Amino acid sequence: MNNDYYLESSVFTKRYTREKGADFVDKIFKENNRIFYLSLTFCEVLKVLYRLYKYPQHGEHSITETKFNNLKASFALDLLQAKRIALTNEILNKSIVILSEGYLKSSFDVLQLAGFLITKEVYQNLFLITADNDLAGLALAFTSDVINLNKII
Amino acid sequence: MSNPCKIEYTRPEYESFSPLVNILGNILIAESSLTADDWVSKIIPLVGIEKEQEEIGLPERLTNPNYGSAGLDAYLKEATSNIISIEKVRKITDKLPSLTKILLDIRHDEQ
Repeated sequence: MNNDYYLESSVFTKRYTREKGADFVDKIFKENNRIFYLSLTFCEVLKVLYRLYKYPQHGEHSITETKFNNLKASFALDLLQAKRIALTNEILNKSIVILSEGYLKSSFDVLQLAGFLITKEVYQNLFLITADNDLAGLALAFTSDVINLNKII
Repeated sequence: MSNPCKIEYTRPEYESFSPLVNILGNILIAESSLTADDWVSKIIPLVGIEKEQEEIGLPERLTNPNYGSAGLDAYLKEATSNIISIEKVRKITDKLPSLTKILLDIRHDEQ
């Protein structure tokens, strides 16, 4: 039986590498599961790719336009296979509940988690997948349906 | 023979109406016989949206989270023209710092 997964931005950045957890993400895409992502993910992951292409920092080497386009294409294809969750006022409102429970440094993280919790209210068998330990930790305060790619054996 | 239920609007006449009237006009033109279920499923929600829009006092472009979806999807589709296999993508990232580490560093820069 296929499952429902909410992929947070760090899952996409894992997928394009040989790091731990990438194989697990591959499997999710290959198994024809129902995949969701918050609209903000588009900007958050593209920002990483643009940084490598146009704005390298801390001694990073920039990538060519061709490689940038190749990476962007993989990301775009993945997004087209998934269902985009819009950043609604209900999700913004949910961020209050999250911040009452715990602190995340990034507003993106708070909204990613809020988006997951709202989506899970609709699709109750939904799992959050993330490679962000802080986000995974706080998510566990709300549900056990959390998969931390850093802890996959 | 013309359908007596069909309301014939010409576009210039109703273009200046509120968005709700425009939507209703389109539905009435497209569907000449609305059932009770149609009213519940199509018309009443639209009235709710219209009411919210009026209360907010801003155009849909600034309030509807899905506004612009078609443009975003078109961008994504166009971007896939440079697709290569995931293995080739990983050969590119082998020589790069961890994308996830960059993402998390960016996030954690925000205190």
